[in-house]
Amino acid sequence: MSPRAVPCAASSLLAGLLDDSRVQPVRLMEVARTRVSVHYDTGRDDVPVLCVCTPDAVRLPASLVAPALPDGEVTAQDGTLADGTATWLVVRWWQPPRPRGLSPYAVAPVPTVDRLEDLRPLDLVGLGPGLTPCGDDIVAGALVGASAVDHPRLADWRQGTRTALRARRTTAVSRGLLHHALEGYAIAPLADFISAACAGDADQESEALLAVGHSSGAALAAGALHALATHPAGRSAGYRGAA
Amino acid sequence: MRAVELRRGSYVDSVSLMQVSRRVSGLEGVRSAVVAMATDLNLDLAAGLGFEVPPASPNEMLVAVDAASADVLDAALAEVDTALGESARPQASGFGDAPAPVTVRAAAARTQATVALISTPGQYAFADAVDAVDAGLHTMVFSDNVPLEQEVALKDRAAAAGVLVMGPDCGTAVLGGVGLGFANVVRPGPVGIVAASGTGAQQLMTLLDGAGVGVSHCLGVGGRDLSATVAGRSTRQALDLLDEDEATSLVVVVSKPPEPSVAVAVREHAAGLATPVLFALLGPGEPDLTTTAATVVAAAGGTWAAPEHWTGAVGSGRRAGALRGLFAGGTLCDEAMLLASAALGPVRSNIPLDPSWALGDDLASVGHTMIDFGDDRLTRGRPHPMIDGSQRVQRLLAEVEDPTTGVLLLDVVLGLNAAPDPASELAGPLHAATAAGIPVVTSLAGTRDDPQGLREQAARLNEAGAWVFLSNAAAARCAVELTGPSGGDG
Repeated sequence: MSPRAVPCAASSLLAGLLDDSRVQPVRLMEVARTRVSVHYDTGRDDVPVLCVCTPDAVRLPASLVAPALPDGEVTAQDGTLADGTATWLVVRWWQPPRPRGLSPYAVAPVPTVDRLEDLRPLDLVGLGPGLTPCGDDIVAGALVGASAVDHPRLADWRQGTRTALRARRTTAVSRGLLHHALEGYAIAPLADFISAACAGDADQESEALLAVGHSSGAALAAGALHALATHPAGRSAGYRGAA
Repeated sequence: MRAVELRRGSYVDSVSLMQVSRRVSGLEGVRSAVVAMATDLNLDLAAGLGFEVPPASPNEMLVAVDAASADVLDAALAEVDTALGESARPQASGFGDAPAPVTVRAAAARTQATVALISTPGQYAFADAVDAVDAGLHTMVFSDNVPLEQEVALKDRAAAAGVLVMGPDCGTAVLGGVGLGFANVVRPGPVGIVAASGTGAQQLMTLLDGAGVGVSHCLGVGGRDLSATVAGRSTRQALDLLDEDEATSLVVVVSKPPEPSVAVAVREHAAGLATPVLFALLGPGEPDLTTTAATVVAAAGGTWAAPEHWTGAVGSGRRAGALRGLFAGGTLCDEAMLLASAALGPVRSNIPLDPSWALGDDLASVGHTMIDFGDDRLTRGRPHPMIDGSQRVQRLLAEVEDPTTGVLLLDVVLGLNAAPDPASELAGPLHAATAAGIPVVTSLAGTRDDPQGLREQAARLNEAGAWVFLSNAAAARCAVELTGPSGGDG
């Protein structure tokens, strides 16, 4: 009996991994699992962690969205994933959000988000409990926000984050999140929030972002707002307690 | 041994009935079977298969079976009952579930949907499409045979509501990576496509994907949109939408030969947009789809290389015969006819480039001949040939038997909703053709991610002796070359 085919939608960030699997199959080890997602270490520089998630999960940038999750170790081969009982077949590609070219001149006030005094990735990466430690979420939010508005400290923050990642100071899931945040890729609620905040009204989007995870949304928002509000060209009230 | 029954008070949706028909037709000893609602179309279909059809109303179900013996007939009718019983079984639903919505607007109100897909018989499509437009949804009308005046009225209504009507007779669309109808699995990228031609869009998309250039959206507008009457209503609106889309940095308009005055108006409209627009309007002297794809790739900053091909068998005994093209895609047929007629002279067809080149009603081949099996007249009551290629396979075998056939040219279109393994379906007949000394050239439209497997399909066709080209234009040129200048006389 041929394995069951599970249709799925793949992030374009997974194109290299899946294309290479046509030449050489590769076994992927499971490194984390939740009710709605499973994460695999790929050993690759371009996409260190592959996430398979269900449609009701928050999509990380390098996700494969499917109605059912694989069970245990999988093999990427011929552009698909297989766990021995089923094959995950890409029927759609999607582009992860990447806010860019935004102006921080009139950032919306977001009173529900705490202000950060400073942001130093080396001090934050790996700080806190959970699949994505709170410190990592703050850094990811800041990286995406800084990338969206071309923040002058972006290069410093990137360097600090890369150094921390090289030391493998955080969880596998977080490594994936931060790796793509370095290039400005975000989960959709964060991208929407940054765009809306730059447009001057982010009430609805902040609500959606704050609903992500237990504390992840708030930490992502804090990092992003720090980037927007500390941009030298900005004149923002920014968020609670901002000057 | 035949049986014809009309059943009152039974209603099963058409897709389920098609599956029941196919299941019963597949029984050993069953020559043909029609299980369908007794619409005029289905009664005609049954009559065409030789059944004596009694007067009936569309609210009755027609069950017609032709079997080799009385035992087989009884078994077939029993299978009809079993299959209908299975399809009519209600789906499990929880206590207190809300009843299913019965209008498009009611369905839209329950969801965050932004797009509706209408696929009802053409005579009924207008009402549902208006309902969808009024609900503020972009509306794809897959249905064909929608009256022209309804198309114009629908598109005017949509323009007033600020939504797009894709169709009628829109078989292909890709919206943000989601394929609707016959669509290929393409990577995201900067190219937006406005398509008044389904297989033309598929050829373009697959060639772009093969060159590593992705597609943001492919908006079908229906094959008549660039006619004098419809006057590019949806094309202009689709151009405006893509112009506003952040993911789209280059737009291509692809169409069969348009009304010249409409083409001028659409070009003028495009010139006023911020996003550059390229045109692939097939016609004499116009670039073929592969040439257009190369231009688009260059404009998108990619690197173009000629699409791959695999050499097949060269026939030995039929070099003076005529070229016979058997197509599932109308635009691919058009493109092949344009190239072939420029080199070989008249090409007869059921969708002729010149009215004087029309085939007779029996579609018998005369000299160089190309048939579009996806034409409305050949798909009445049947699945499209991209889903069910049996009609074309029969014709292919007949062409092999015809001593005037010199070279065969076929298209194979892969993608979502197309047949799961068209190459295997064609392999036997292709072997028969090449064994008879007839070279077979195939154009294969697909992407590396299409569910059928592009390379596997190419290998299977090639193993059966066929030449395989990923460019339809290159396939047509090869077929012309193999036919030679003396072919097609008579």
